[in-house]
Parts: sequence; structure tokens; C-alpha cells
Amino acid sequence: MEKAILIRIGEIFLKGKNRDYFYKVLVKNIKNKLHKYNLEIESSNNRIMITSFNIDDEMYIIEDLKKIFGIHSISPCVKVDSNRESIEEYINTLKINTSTFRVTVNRADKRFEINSTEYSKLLGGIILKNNHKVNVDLHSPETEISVDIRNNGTFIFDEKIPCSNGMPVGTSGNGLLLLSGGIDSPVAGYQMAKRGMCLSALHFHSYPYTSVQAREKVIELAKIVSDYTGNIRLYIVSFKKVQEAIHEYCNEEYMITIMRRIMMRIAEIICKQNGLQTIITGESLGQVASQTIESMTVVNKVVENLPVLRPLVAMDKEEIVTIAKKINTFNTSILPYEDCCTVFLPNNPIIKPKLEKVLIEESKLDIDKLVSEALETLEILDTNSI
Amino acid sequence: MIFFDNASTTKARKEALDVFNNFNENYFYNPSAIYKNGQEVSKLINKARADIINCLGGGRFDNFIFTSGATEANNMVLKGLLKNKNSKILVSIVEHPSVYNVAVDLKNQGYNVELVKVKSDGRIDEEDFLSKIDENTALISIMHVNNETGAINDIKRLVSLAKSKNKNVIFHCDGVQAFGKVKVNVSALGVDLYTISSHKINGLKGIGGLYVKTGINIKPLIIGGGQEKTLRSGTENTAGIYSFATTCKLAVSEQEEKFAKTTSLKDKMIKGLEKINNVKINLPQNENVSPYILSISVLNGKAETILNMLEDKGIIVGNGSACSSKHKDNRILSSMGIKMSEIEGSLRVSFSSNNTEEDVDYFITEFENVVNEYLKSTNRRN
Repeated sequence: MEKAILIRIGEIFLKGKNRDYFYKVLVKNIKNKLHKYNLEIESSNNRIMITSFNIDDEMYIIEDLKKIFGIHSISPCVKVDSNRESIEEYINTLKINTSTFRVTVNRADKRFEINSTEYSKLLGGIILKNNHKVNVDLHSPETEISVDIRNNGTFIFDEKIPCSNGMPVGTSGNGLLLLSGGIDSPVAGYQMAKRGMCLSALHFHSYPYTSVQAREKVIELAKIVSDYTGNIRLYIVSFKKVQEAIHEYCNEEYMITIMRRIMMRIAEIICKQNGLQTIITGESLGQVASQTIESMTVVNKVVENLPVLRPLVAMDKEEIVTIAKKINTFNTSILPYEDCCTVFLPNNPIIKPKLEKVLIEESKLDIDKLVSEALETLEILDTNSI
Repeated sequence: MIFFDNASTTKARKEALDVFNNFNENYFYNPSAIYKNGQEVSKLINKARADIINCLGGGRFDNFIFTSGATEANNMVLKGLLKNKNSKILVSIVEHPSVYNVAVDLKNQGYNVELVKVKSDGRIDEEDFLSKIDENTALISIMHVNNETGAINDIKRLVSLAKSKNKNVIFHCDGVQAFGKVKVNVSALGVDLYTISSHKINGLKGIGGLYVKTGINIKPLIIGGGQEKTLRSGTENTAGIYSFATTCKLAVSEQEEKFAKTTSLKDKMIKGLEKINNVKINLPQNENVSPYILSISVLNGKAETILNMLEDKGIIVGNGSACSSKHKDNRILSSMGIKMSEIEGSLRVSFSSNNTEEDVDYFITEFENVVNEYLKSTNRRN
């Protein structure tokens, strides 16, 4: 008898001809995530099974598996030999802690001598004999004992742990997440990775107007998100000179609009240089002044050839916070270090900017120079080497 | 790097480190052990205790409890002297978080806690102080020297005022920014309890303690093996304690000389700062302010940015105001009536005798540059 973990895959089944590709990426992602443990990953016949691990690692392995997109659920199980004696010996030891149960036998190995229905009844009888206060309930049992009989062994489990679902990271292209230190952008990254997108991230800091802690906080956030996504390459750019220039030359009402348009220009260049296919932001419609549809329209105008994805656009703050808490970014996001400098923030930012006026304001700046100067400050970090 | 954040911590002096290392090397035994080596360590700890009591102005052998630092000692006072929820606790509004936040916590638990106001010079408002003492007042905690402004309270006078109104009141004083820096004599001050810390006076971190006058019964925060006469369980930080005693002896013996040196550094600093536009000294500087701490504000400035800019010039200072837009306020400065526009740009410059006149000169030059640069880039010119 040994322990194993059965992995069920989610949506990948729907993917028809590409199924094999998705499956291979998922197995690779599982291998990467679990590389720190001594274990074996068996993948055959649409099943992935983790075996031969140290029992002390089991809970950590389960926690790691819960963070891999593409896994629907997992079941920690006991593996016994596929013969009646071994199966019944184990079933004989089971103690049921609920008042109802059922046994479900799946006989994948059709050579097994009794059919599934008959064997379910037989095993249920053994359990009833050993557990006097329990009853069988075939329709809505509180405990379901599953017995999966295969030619390489029989897997017995009673627990199904829901996992992250989604698609394996790496199967849906790659994108550049604009990562601030706030609550929203890490969640936006998480949501895109859940659809299989591989993430890089771009952070703008304004040292000395913002603190070193604010920068460290963003690195920490990228690290937390990378627990779900695998390595995130983090691009860090100083926005100091851009902010100073806008502050000096432009109408302060347009500060935020122009800032965002310059951030997008820089993001697009980084995407092009690194083969990234889209820009991802954590904007949510109407949340703050810069997140109106008019503002998004004006900001989008500078990105010529890439889609700008806003996975949170229709979400309430409360929904975003719920996810941020679930993925453990919330407590870091609310640390009190400014992610964006408050020194220059206008009192009354324009809510519905007009492109013509923005262009007039921008004409006061040498934008190409500011963008290239900002890019000169570029630093690159990988979360897996921090 | 020029370090003007000595109120947050100080560089450990060589003597403190040497004693610590030597003690760990040769006297690593557990002082609770019954074998000779252990007993020898026990004796050395009690010698350290006696030395520290001497430094505080004398007292009985058991008048001092070693703790992990001042925060623990302050917590012990506020939590360990409570009897019932009717008895009143009085703390000043400008206390260090290790007193203030404990008091707020006790208030939230239903204890009767009142806050004493300060005047614009950062010192206790005596009228308010007296009006809040009544027959139910059980404990008063007032700091000796304020950690952000340097304001020195007249503890001796406050104790006598308090006791004349309620002779049973227990008076605690957080002396972390005072001991070793200004003259301290617990008997002369008349306090019942007095907190001190090692790392603020060029000693090591992780050790501090509480003077407890004979007859004051305090309950322990930490219960276990019964060390420190059951008042603070846990195997003693033996080398830390011994090093602390050395630090205290040196600090007290050098106190006057260092006080004079720091006073002259601070005076020089103030003279230089007065010539810089848009810089304000936050409280009147006189004999009621510690020469070790100077609170200043850059008008219309943001403390964090200025602090970062100074760091880039090789100068470290403390920030008076928290950095977040959500937590811009500063409890201490706002209680003195200082305007928000000044609080946001408030900095704490704190000295040690390791600082030199050259440090001050360099600071003045670079600070003026930073303030001008800051105001230039943040003021609109169009």
C-alpha cells in the first residue's frame, strides 16, 4: 500500500485536436512546480498521478497542485495491488465518520473478476459490517469511497479537492502586465494566467518621489503571483523624468491621461522587443477617474498594433478584493507605500478626456525623447531568481 | 554615509561588542543551572543589574528587571499593573507606540484610559494633566524625552503634582530617549517605574529593562521558568545583559561631555537651517529640548521624497510623517498644533556623539540643495 495523488484535468478535454498539446504543457507545468520534491509523475491514458513521494510532503504537494491552472481537482488516494485480497484488506480497515456513504467502483481493467456494480455492493457490505452507525445512500452520500481499478494498481480515495481550473499557463500566448503596487493589477495578471497566458510584468517607479519599499512591494507581488503562473519577468522603469516633464509643461488636469499614454507607449515597445503579444492592465470601469471609457479610449489610441486586455473591466472592487485575498496578494497590496507618486497628483483630474486636447498638451513634450530616456533606466528581474 | 537617525537606533560601540563576544565565549552557561559555572553567570548578571541600578541613581538590588527591550518593558507596565476596569490609566497623547498603542488596545478592551494633551512646545499640558487625575487614577505613563521632537518633560514636577492629587497613583516614565543622554536619577525624579533601552545608547539590540521601585507589584507578561524573580521568564540574554551594563556605565560617565558635544552640533545645525528658505524648526529650541533630536519641516514638501533625495547624497535622517497618502498624519506633531502642510514635510534629525561638525556642514549644504531641487521640480512653472 502506498499513497498517491490523482489529478483530474479540466477544460483541456474540450480542446479537440489540440488536446495533446495542452496536456503536454500541463504535465510540464506540474513537473516544474513539483521539481523540489522527490516524486514520480505518471501520465498515461488521460490521467496524471503523483506517486512515490515522501508522506511528509503530501500536504505541500497538494497546496502546490491547487495553484496550477488546468487542474480541475485532485484526490489524495491509497494505491493497492489490483487484486481482491489487497483491495478488501484495505476496505476492511476503513472507518466512516459520516452517517451515510456509498462505494463507487470504476473497473478500467476489465480483466478484473467482478463487475463494478457487484463489487461496489460487496465492498459496501464490508464497510457496513465494520461501521455500525452508517447507512448507504447512493444518491447524496456524505462520504463517497471511490475504487478505481487499473492494471497498474487500484486507487482508493474519498476526497475530491477542487483546484484552480482554467488552462495551463503557456497555452494562450504571452502578455505584459502593467503591475502597480495596488490591489487590482496582480489580480488582472492572475486572471489572464488562468486562461493560459504566460506573464511578464512592467512596473513604473518614481524614486525619489516614491520609496524603495514601494518597489520592493511590487517585486513581492510579482513573486506571489508567480506562484500560480511560473516565472514572471519583471521590467522596472523609472518614470521620474516623465512625471517631472508633464508636471512642468502640461495642464495638470491631463496629468494622469498623459502619464498612462506614455506608460502604454513604453509598454508597447517592451512588448515588441520581447515578442509579447498583449498589454494587460488592472483597470475596472469607473473605479477611478482614469478608468472611464473615454479615458480608456484616449489611452488605447497610442497602442497601434497590440490588444490591450483589461480582465477586471466589469468587476466590482469587492469581487477583485475577494480574489486578491484568495491568491494572497491582498495583504501585500495594502501596505502603505505609494506605488505612484502623490507629489504630482492633480486635484481635479479630467474624467472624460478629449483626444484633441490631450494631443495639444502632449505637443508640449518631446515624447520620443522621454520614452527613450525612460527605457534607458530599464531593469529586468526574474521572479524565480529572487 | 552620514547617519542622522540616531533616535531610531545607534551604532553599537566597540566595548559593547567586545563584552558581548567575550561573555558568550567564556560564560555561555545557563544562569539557572546549579553547577558552579551557571552560578557564576548568575552572579555576573546580578552584578550587571547592580551596575545599571547605580547608573539610574541607585536603589535596591532587585529594583531592575531585564527585558528584551523597551517595548516589552512598556507593555509589562501597562498590562501588568491593571487591577480592575474602573481604575484609570493616564498616558500622554505623544507617547511612543509601545505605550500609546497598548493604551488604545486597553481602552478598546473596556479599560478607562485617558490621554493627556501637550502644548505647542511638545511638553505635557499641566493643566490638562492635573484635571484628569482623580481618586480612580491608578497608573500614569509619561515619557521623559519625546522620540520625535526631543521635548523634555519635567518628570520630577509631574510626579509631585500627580502624587499631591492622588498619593496612590503609580507613575511610569519611558526614559528610552533620556537615559544616557540627559541626566537621569530615578530617585530624584520620584518615578515608580522607568524604562530604558540598550540600542539607543550605542549598545546592542535585544536588551533593555525596567526600573521598578520597591513596593510596586507588577505582574509578569511572560510566564515560564521563573527567571528575573518570576517577573520575566525565559533564559536570560546573559551576554546582552552584561554588555548592556557596560554600555550604561560608559554612557552615564560620558553623559555630560557628549551632551555638550551634541548641543554644539545641534546649535550649528539650527544656525545653518535657519538660513535655508522654506525650512522650519518645529518647536522652540531651549533647555527643555534634548540636544539629540531636532524636528524640522520642509514647507510644502513630502518627507519621504526628501528623505530619499538625502539618502542619494549619502545622508540618512528619519521621517516625521508616514509616507502613505492614507496615513499622512503624525500624532505627535498634530497634537502640538502643527499644520498638515508642515507635517507632510517633517523630518527628524537625530544626533549622536559619533557625528562631527563636518557632518553638519555637509548636511546643511546638501539639504539646501535637496530642498531647492525638490521645490524646483514640484512647483509648477507654466
